[in-house]
Amino acid sequence: MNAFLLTGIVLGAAIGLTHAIQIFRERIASGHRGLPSAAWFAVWTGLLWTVFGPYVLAVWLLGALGLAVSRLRQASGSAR
Amino acid sequence: MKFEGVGTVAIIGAGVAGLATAKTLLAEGYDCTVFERSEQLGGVWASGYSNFGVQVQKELYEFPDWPLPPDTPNFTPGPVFQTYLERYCDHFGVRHALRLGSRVTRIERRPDARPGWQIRSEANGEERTEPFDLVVVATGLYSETPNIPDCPGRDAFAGEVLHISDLKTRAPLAGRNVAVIGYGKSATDAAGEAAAVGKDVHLVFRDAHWPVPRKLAGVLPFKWGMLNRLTATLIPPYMRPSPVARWVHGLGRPLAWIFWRLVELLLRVQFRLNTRIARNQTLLPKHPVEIDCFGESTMVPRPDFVGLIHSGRITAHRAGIERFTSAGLALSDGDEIGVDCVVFGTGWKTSHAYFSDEIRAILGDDDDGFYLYRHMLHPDLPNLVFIGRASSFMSVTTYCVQARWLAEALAGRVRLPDQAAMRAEIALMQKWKRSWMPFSATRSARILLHMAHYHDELLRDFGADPFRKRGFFAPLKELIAPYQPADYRDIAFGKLQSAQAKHANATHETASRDLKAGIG
Repeated sequence: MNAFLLTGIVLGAAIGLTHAIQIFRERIASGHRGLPSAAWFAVWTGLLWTVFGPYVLAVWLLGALGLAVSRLRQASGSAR
Repeated sequence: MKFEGVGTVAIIGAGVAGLATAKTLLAEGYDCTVFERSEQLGGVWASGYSNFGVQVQKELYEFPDWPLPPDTPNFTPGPVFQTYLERYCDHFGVRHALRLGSRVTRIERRPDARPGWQIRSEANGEERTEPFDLVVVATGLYSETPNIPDCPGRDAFAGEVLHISDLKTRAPLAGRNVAVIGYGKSATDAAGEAAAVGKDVHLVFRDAHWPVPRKLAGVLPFKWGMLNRLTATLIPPYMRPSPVARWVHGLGRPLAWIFWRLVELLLRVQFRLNTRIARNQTLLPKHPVEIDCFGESTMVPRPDFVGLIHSGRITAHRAGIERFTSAGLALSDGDEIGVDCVVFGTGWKTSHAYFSDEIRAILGDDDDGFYLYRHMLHPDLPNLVFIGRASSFMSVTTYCVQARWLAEALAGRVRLPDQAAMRAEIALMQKWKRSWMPFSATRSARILLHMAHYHDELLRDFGADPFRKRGFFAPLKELIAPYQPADYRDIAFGKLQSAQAKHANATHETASRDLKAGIG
């Protein structure tokens, strides 16, 4: 369980960091509401991904399983 | 492409889009004339079918700069909304520009070869011809011509055939056996009205669609699940998706997939879509919800609609019409239903009868409608603008943002691409929509859940901040809070922000640099 949580947090943090950088650069380039606002958006983005990383990972795994089953069913349905 | 020397503006249609455009352009000092064929302003809100009204929560369907009065009932009834439009018109001083009872019969090129168009109109049997520098077509997606499918045997039918537009009251349905054709908002409303006063009521439709509940799980207003940026990321990606959207629909695809399957599960349970109807069919749609919701029949039904089917008060038939019989309808599934009144809730045709042959030829006759740059401009029809030809879940707001975009473009604060670039953009949109969006006669104009992306695009064009949420928790609100008209208040008011002023200067500088270099 701990390993799963840790994996989720690490993955979330990695995606969050990338997303935060993208948001920060976009906000700065747009020139709206200045540097503090851009930084604030970036911090939130990184934080949310990190905190919800394990949940996102769990949902992703469930979705991957469901999607695979659904594809298999579709494939067998069309083969018939 | 750019607008030049615009002083006089003709706006066709005094519905929501026409009024928003008139209000915005009048405030910018343009000389506007609003042509409205009816004697009353309001467009579709001036005269609707029995018990018609707004299908979304009232806070989603109002002008951003003119909120509905607090005591307005939710899901604003049609006549109440009409009064609201009258007040909007008076408050913003639009009334003097209205020409009610004046039907436009022709739009053609100006004979003096100046930019703009000549409008022929007819009022009280008198015809007028006037030139305008700019024409805004704000008549919406549909014409006034009812769309009634051609079914064989209609002459043999002894009963009455009506279109939804004929149902101004419930009276024509009282005590009769009624068949309603269609599965959109107006058809399901008509079936509800028939169930209230008619004898046997049948609802006949070929395809079922996912209904949108007023409240998700009966608790959460649907805007929280559908109109936020999180959901906007999970729908099929927009033309030029952000890196996050690309990731979500690439490696992250299982996330979007499971989200929509959960939404389907919720709708199945909430609307009891497994209910058995005629021929042991169900109300379950064929297409996934995230695709189906971009079709033409997306609707928020009245809360009692599925209950009426479940209880047997409305008999639903998932079939097409084979032919009329003398006593009713023969359906494609082999059933025959005995009725003495058939109501077509099949909408209206899309046509612009007043366009000259030249304009028609340029717009083309694609089955899914004509595509425009930013849903407003055609590169080969300068100074002709379409506002209100974009269907979203917050149409009023969308039209107000379009009107602001036009005002900014007229003022030179939107740098319009040249004709070739516009054509490329239109071709991209056409290819993108046709690659996944369900076919409909109005596919070219459908935005729906892509509303946030479209608004962002327009706002970026004139340098406004697309992130509208404010306050300490703004980043969180951007993610999960629904977008509403109130978020666009300053846009509708036309308040320039510092970044926008910078953008405007940059646009002018680039334009003059291009002009000097011989590009512009």
